[in-house]
Amino acid sequence: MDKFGLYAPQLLPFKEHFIPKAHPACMGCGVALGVRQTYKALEEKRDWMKDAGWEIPYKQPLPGNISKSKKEAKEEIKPALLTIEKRDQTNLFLCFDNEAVEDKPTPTVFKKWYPAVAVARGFHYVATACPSYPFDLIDKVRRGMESEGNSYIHILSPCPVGWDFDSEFAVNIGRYAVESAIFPLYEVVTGSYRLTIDHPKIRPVEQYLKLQNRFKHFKQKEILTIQAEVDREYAKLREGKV
Amino acid sequence: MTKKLKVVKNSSKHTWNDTRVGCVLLEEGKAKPFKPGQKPILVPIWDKEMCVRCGLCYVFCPDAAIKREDDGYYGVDLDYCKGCGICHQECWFGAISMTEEG
Repeated sequence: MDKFGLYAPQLLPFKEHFIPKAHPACMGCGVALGVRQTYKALEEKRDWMKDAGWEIPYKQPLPGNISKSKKEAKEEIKPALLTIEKRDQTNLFLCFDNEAVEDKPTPTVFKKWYPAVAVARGFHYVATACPSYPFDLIDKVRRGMESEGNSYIHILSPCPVGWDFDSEFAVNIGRYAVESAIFPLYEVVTGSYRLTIDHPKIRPVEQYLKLQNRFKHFKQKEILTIQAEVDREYAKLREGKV
Repeated sequence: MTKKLKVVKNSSKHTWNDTRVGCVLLEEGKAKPFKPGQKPILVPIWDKEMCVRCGLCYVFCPDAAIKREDDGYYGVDLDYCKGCGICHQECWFGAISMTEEG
C-alpha cells in the first residue's frame, strides 16, 4: 500500500490553529469545517487577528436570537460590503453561508447573491468556495490575502440541522451543490470571471434538492424553474459573460 | 417529571470582580482549556490494513479531532470527537468504521 509516498493533505500544515476545539457548533458543522480550513490557509498571517475568544473576530448567532441575528446580518453585511470599499484599505471578508437567513426556501425567490454585489462594488478579488473542496478553498483564501485591494470570499457551509440531513453527508452534499452547478465555484480577479472547478457532466438539480428535507415540499414544476435558472446562470459563467 | 436544578457553586478562582469593564477580553483563545464533555455515541475506528495514510479524514474533520500519529497513521482524540461520521463517509478505501465506544 505504500505505492505513493505523499498525498496532498500531508502538504498542509499539521499544526492546529483552530484553537478552541471545543467549539459550540453541532456535529458535522460546515461552518466549523470552513473556519478550520481557513486557519490552515492563514497560518503565518494571524498577527492581526488576535482580538476575540476565538482568536479571530467572529459572530455566531444562537437559535434564541435568530430574529435579531437575521436583522443583524442584513444590517451588517450589506453596509460592510457597501462602505468599506470606500476606505483605502485591504480587507478580507469571509462569508460563511449556511442559507439560514432566508425565511423559507421558495422556488420563485432566489437568495441574494453577495459575490455579485462585491464584484459590482469593485472588490479586487471575489471568490466562491466550499469546504468540500478544501484545497480550492485554501488556495482562494491565500490569494485573497495576497491581493492588493479588498477581497471577498463566499463559503457555502452545509448545515445538517437547518438543511435536515444526516451529519455524515455534510461534505458530500457540498460536493453535490457544486456538481449540480447550483453553487458554482469561481473566482473574479479585477472583474474577469473564471470557473475554478468545472465538471464536464452537470448533475440535475433535483438530485441535490432531494437530499435535503428542507426542500421536501417542492413539486416537479418548481424544480424545473430552478433548473432553468441554474442552467442560465451557469451558461453565462462558462462563457465568462456575467 | 420535574427536574430539580442543581445549584452550581462558583469556583473561588474567578468572580465578577475579575472581569474588566465592558467584559473586554485581553487574551485571545480563552476557550482553549474547555472540552465538550459529552462523549460521542459512535466513534471512528481505523482498519490499518485498508488505510493508505492519505489524510482525507484529517482534512474533513470539522472538530479537529483527528491527528496524525507517529507511525504515519491517523487516530482520533475522543475528547473532541462528536461522532458526526464524515470521516467514515469520506474515506475512499473504507478503512474507517463507526462503532460504539467501548
